[in-house]
Amino acid sequence: MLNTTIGSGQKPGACMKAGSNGARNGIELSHVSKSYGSVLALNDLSFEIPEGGRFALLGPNGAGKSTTLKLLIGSLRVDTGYAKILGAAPDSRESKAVVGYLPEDALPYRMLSVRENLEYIAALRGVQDVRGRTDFLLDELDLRQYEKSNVGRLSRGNTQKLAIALAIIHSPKVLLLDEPLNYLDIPTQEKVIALLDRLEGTHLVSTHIMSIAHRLTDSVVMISKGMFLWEGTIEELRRKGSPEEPIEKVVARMMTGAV
Amino acid sequence: MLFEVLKFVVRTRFSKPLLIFMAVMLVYFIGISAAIPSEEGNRIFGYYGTGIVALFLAMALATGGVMVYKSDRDYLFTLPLSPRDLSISIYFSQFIAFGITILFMFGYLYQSLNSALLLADLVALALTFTSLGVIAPSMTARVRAVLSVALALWTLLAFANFPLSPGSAFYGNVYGGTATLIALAAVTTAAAFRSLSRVELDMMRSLVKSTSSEIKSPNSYVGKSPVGAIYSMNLNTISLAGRMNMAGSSRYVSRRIRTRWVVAASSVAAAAYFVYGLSRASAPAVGGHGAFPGALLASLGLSIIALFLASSAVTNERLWLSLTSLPTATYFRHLVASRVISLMLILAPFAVADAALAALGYGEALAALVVTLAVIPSSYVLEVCWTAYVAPIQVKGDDITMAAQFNLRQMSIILPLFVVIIIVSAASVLLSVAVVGGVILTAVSAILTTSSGFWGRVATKLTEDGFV
Repeated sequence: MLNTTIGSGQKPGACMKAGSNGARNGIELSHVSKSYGSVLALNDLSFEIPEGGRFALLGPNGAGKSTTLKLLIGSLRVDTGYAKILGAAPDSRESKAVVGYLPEDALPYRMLSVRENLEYIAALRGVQDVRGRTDFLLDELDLRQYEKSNVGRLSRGNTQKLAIALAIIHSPKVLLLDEPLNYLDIPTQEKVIALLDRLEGTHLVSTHIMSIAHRLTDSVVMISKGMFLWEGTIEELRRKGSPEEPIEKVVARMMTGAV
Repeated sequence: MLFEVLKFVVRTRFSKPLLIFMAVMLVYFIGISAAIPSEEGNRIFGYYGTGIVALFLAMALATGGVMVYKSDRDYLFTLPLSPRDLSISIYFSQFIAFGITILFMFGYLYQSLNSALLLADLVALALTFTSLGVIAPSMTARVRAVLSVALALWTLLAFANFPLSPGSAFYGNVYGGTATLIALAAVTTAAAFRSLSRVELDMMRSLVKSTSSEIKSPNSYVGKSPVGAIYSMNLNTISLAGRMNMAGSSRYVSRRIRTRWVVAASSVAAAAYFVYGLSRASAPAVGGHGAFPGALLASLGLSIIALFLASSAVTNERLWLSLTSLPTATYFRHLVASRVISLMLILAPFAVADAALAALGYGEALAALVVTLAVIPSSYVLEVCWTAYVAPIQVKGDDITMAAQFNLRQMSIILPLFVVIIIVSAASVLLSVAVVGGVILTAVSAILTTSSGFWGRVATKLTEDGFV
């Protein structure tokens, strides 16, 4: 999909040929810093993802992955630098109309039923065919039998399926996912992967698990300690190790600064 | 070993600054009680004491819970500790969070209690409050609701000079009331310790019973605009969630109930209030304050209920969904506005009753009308803003365990209530206080509600606190 535009760039944005060719970036961070009190979460972080790109956001614990996603949905504000979603500021109405977001351990409204959650968020997002879209996702994610169930009583797996449905109910052009396959059994994982694969648009998936990154994306942005580390395709990442070396080992070496 | 377990349980549930603060406040309130002359205003305090005890006993049972973390269930309960030590430690924590409320009210309750039996009454009340919270999780929601109402009605029988009511000690029947309180404390404390010996089992049982697995009459949002959906959700149903237990222990419950049922219940209560008001027509004036101290009591009761409702505005929010759908300020403005309208629907029957009583010449009812229409709704908004900005905690998973340690910030959520209590108490003497207080609170709440900058800061704060 994007492999032709992805180089082996080690510098932020170096592989963003799509952007330099005049096409819009789906996601853009430029020299972004963000602190929580005295803790510097992001430090001059820059990267770009071209429109339609499918990228995994990799990094060790505390690297700033979740902060990056929260900046991109506009619920946190950058201290310096800027972030853009399809050219718009993250907290703008334009950006909110096109972004879908799934946080890690996402919790829907627990006092609403499954259907009420879907219909309420569809209405909030201004979806035209609320009932049709709700029915589609209930069937697609095998949630039909729980549509009247109180969300507070759902299993964690079904809660995660509902959360995914809520994140994509408006067919977002930019989808930000934080560990989307958590809690899902293997058949459901396959179903969700197929569903996400059919969704058009720019995807940024934060995950620790390389197999998930490989299934959901084709490229990687790696960050560590709030700073850009590396960017390229998964194949390029694989080539950084010996042929028999698991890709996880390569990633671990890069994150710990051994490369 | 008991001391070590006790220290561990208390320190994990309460921050050190909060414990120090509570100790200081305890000394202060006891000092106040000694300073207030006991001869004056006994009748007013009789109303106050009986009414507040009825409300608190009912809420203790309806909303009570055991101060237990999930980590207690995962680790503490699996350690080879004496069940007795563990029960005593948890009960003592419960007392600090809950039963101690009675001691904070010492200064006021002192007025309405016979000093000879004061200590017995207060100890019995504190034990009863504490124990009701402990045994509450072992009951189904329906049983708790029925027993809460029964307990409140039994207490209010004191107004009819029934001698054996938990409120009788405050309303002239000293010995019968004290004996009743002691008996109630004995029964509930025994039940509480029996319940603590199987606390984990009861919590799990409560979790299973606490909510219905299916929503019986769901709302539909088909055809609604984004803003229309917010109003539809908040006007059709009332979500009851938030910090429960009177001293503010950060244990959370969440329930959902149709607004029309709450308005129906409110109408019945308002009708009873109106009839009671009429029955006071021939009563002599008390201390020159008019003949209807019930108006003050009703205003205080409604204020407390409204401020409890306020905390659920934020605790149940899912900002990863709502704030990615609409601009921050737009969403919060409509959320607050819809919830205030919902609250005013509940208050409306009392406003009508107050207006009717005021038309019949009750000056205090006129003040209560102003309080109901302006002070309570605006203080509700301020409470929403305060809890969102200062002490937000989200209801996440199972709602049986404590969500966080109880600290001074959590305690601060009752500050707006004190403002309301001061205004309501002063308004019962001077109508202009109600009017001026209502105008000021309404202006401040309007400014906050419409401020984009304020809601932007709230969103950042909530995001950093894990709401997104």
